[in-house]
Amino acid sequence: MLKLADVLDINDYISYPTDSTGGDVLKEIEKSGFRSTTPIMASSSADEPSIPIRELYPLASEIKPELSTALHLLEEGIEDINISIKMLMENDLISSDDAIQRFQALLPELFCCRNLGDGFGAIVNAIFHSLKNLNGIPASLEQLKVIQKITNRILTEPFISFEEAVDEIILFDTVELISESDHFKYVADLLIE
Amino acid sequence: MNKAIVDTTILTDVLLNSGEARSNANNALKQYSQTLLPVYAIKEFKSGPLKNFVWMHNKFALLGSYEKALDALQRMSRTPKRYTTSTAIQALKEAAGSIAKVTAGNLVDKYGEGATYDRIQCDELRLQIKIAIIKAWKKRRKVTTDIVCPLTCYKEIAPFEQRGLIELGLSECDKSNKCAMATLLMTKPDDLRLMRDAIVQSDKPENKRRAKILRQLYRTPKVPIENKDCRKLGDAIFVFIAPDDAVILTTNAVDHIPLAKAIGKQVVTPSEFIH
Repeated sequence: MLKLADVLDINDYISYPTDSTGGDVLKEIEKSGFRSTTPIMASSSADEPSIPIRELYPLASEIKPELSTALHLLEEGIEDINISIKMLMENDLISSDDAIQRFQALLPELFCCRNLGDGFGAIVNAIFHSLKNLNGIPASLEQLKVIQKITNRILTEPFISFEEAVDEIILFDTVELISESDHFKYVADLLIE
Repeated sequence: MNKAIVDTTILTDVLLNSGEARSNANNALKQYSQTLLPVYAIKEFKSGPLKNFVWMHNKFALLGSYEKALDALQRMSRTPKRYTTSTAIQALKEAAGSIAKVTAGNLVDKYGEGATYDRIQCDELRLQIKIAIIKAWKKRRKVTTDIVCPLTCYKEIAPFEQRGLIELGLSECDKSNKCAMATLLMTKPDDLRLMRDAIVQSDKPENKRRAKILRQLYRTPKVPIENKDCRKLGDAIFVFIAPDDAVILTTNAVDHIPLAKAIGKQVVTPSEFIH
């Protein structure tokens, strides 16, 4: 028998479908200020979007040429990151690092597509400096996974808001990736009295 | 003693600084099981260092040129430590690690002006500053284990973007409310007097201004203090509100020590934890 003042947690009364194999699990879309009950199917690999990204932006090249270039470069980059992760898990450090170097080489051109938005530009810039600040030391698996996640995010949401981009970049701190350029410290020094 | 009250210098080093200063501040915080951040530090942080970062961001955004923005920064930084300033400006001009340094020149044909060296460097640093501002605001209440001394007269309004520029919104206290900090300070007039006496002979203009406000608080408590007076109190506030069993953690020991000694409190700097 419940007393009048008891607080009920609705989660205690809802059963979520689970799949112990880690395969297709029904998920809810959750975003700040928006909550949908429409289930979406996660792809077999959590890192790959289920719908080819080009289908989401079929007129990209006509409407915004930078979008088309960015999507093309990001697809190529994600392939490199996936290879890097796979090679690292197979203990092939050279191949892993080589793949991430190829991804790194795409970033300056990706940064030229920054008029897609400050969120996009901030993420590309943060990835570039995070990798550069490793000073040639190969990225760890955790670091690669964070980079993979954030790169996937801008592939599926190239117009990501700045606030959301910052939330993603904050995750870099958790895996000891430094996303500021080396010269940022000088400007910080001058601005902090 | 395993409790520390954190001042604005530490908050700033954790939130906006980089490299050694940030890691030293973080390391110092880890030495204490309980760390306290007064809301006053957030207020000071917003109207001081965060405001400077916003200025720099907006300068980059408006000028759209790295070189021109650096000139503006150099003009604003003509402080007594000019040598440090010129060294820093030189390093910024070189910006050896910039993404622009590895951007192929032929990309200008494809992407236009946005791919020029100057424009890339401008946006690169502008975005880093913008990240620092937004990130700092998001994390401001997560630096310490506790937030103390809420200010009923002060609203923490988040920075926002308008016409491509960052706006800080209102940074001052609500004048319709009585100054919460003054009300608290006036509960211990003897401490105010001791702190005032400790700095009244100082040559530093900021200490002279602080001494004057401290005197006003215990001599004429009914006279309301202005927002600018509240800001002038600065270091005296951290010393005053530090619990007896807590140290005052700051990088600005020089200004805190005389005030702290006067009322039997202890000051610690992050450098004391560097081995």
